[in-house]
Amino acid sequence: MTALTLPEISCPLPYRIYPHVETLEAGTVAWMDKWRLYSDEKHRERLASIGCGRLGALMYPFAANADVAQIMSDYIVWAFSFDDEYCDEGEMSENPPRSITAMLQMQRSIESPEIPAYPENKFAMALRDIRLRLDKYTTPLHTTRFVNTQRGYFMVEVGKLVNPQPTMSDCVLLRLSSGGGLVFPTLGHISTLVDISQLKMEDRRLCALTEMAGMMIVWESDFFSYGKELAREPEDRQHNIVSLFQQRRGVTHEQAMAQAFSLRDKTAGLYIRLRASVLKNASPEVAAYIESLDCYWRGGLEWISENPRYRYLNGVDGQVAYQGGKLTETFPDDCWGTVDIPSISWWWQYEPAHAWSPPGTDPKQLPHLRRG
Amino acid sequence: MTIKLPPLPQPFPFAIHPSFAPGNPSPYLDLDIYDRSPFEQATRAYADRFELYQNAEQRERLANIHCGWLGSMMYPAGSDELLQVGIDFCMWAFAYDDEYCDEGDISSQPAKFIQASAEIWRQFESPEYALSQDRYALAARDLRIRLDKYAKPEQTGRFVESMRIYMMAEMWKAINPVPSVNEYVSMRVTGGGAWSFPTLGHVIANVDIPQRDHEDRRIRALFEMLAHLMAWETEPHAYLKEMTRGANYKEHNLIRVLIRERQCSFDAAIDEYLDMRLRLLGLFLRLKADVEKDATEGVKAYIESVIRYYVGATVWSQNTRRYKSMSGNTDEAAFVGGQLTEPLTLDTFNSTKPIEIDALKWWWKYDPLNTNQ
Repeated sequence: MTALTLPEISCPLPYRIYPHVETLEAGTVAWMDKWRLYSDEKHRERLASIGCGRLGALMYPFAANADVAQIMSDYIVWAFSFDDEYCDEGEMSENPPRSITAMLQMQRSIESPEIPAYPENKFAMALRDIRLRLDKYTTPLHTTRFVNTQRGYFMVEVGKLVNPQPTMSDCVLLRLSSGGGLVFPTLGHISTLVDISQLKMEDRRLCALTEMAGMMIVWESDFFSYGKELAREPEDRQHNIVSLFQQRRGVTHEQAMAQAFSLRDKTAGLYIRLRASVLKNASPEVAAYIESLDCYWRGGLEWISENPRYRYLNGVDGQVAYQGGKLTETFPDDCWGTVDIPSISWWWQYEPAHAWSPPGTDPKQLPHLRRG
Repeated sequence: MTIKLPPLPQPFPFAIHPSFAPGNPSPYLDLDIYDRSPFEQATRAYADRFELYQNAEQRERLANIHCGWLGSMMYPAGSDELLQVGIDFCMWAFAYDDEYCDEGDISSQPAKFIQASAEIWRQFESPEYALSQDRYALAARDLRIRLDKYAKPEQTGRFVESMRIYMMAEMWKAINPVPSVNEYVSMRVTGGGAWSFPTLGHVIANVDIPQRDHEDRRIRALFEMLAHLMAWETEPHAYLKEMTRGANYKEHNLIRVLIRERQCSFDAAIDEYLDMRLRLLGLFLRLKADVEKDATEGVKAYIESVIRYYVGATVWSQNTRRYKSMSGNTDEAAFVGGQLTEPLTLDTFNSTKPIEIDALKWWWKYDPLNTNQ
């Protein structure tokens, strides 16, 4: 089978990286060992080779200090390991009641970190360690935002365990919060310690930008991993956005990839326009917050597009899983228009170019009620 | 079967919103005149508009809750518009609890239930468009739109987060019918709206509390304590009802969970609950006095809003027809006693012992008597 060809992928934001990547890598491997966040030696090797330090350095280039940068890098390995064990094919994913209880213990451990209430739950203890270390540097507002987005993460993982066949719209929503999708961009401003007020954070335009940055990284990782995922059974890759289009719309892989790229480009266009519009009269904290999202998006995309784990079929070298996919610092060509995915269509409510609402979504009109 | 309970010692006065049934000499009793209150009429219209029931019998049961009365006791301060949001949220939560969590077809289908809960959650956090056709999601969106109009964004944001906590707890309850005591107390305080009702209190009273104070651990402990206590006070009352009808296989009742885990009698479980509440109130009053020594007006008003919730919701639970009888529609007695006392002096609440349940132990870390804070 010939390798899939990806179009060029554009992101008009600059490349930045936090120095001392090797220190971060070593620190994270030591932290992972401390909390034994792996099932066996093979799993440990795999986690150690992800390059969480580099990913953290790319996503959080302006981390306030070395300790904070280390927390970010450590959280990344936590998320990868948790994902392996609890989500997808992990052992715990086969036992929803046990798994949900364990996740609530993890959540409780960061909500109320004073007393280690679940010492036998290593993921809870490690996550609590993240919270306690954040508390040393951040304000209570920062940690609360971490705790709250982490709750969304767990909630969606719970939903995934029991609902294997979500609608397209639900599936997109599910991907937005699962796998740390919204925790990672939220950590951006926490890493720089920018003190943005809760009132400013509740601005729906900032919420939209945060969700868009989170969503684009999810989709972009879907594009780059699609070539490899084609080797898996169709039902094992249905949450991938390209797969979702391919399977639900009955189109070819190439057509599905083009549709998914168009979705991403429209979102990227909206992100850039809305970002510029908010920045016009933004306070320094809001501007810094937006910059943290920029770094998250560009840094994440940088990591995804260069990563051997997606590029090569064996994850290291040799036969490639895809061709193309070059990252360019240009503006996407076709970035206008809306999307017909209800769960995220609200982002376009804040399209600065025009006051507009998608057909059939008049907020004043009460739609048909569904029973039970 | 009739359950007999002793009076419940407590230190707080009673209050009710001045706009609700003004001139009523016994506002702590469930009365027929509440049927005619404009707030009550409006909330029934809200339930009708979004069809928050599965049949006429359930519609009548919801009317008998007297959400207007309940809301006015939990939220005795604030504008009429915000009070109506609070009352309608009572209607929403009871209807959702009955139909989706306990008794309707969906309550026994975890996958469908969790799907619906996720839709409600998303619709509540993204109110711009109608994303779902779920009746409860759309009714929740209506509340959110009104909050966006009448309340401040930080206040609304806290309530939105509380709804997420609520939905997550209900998912947990849906798949964990037999929790341990330690799990159950967390489940109880987050599910059934037990976290959302007190969160809404400061929104309706328009309390300006900075986010930093709101996240202060001592203030969170005060909030949690009364949120738990209110939930516990309903448990003996709900025990009988839940044993008699509804989703019986779910052991979601403090008394029932205590009986199982301690392998004790009903009376012994009641004794433990009574002792738990005294330990909690002892700490609450010590910590409140300590926090208020140098608290801002906003913080004091926030704590007061939580107390209002506790008193209002508890008085309601002890006098409502919903818990007084099996069917929820008449006055036939299923339990006697268990009323809150008149406010007792603070020195009555001198217990210094912590509650020996892991999930609650952190409160005592902030006990002013604890010098190793």
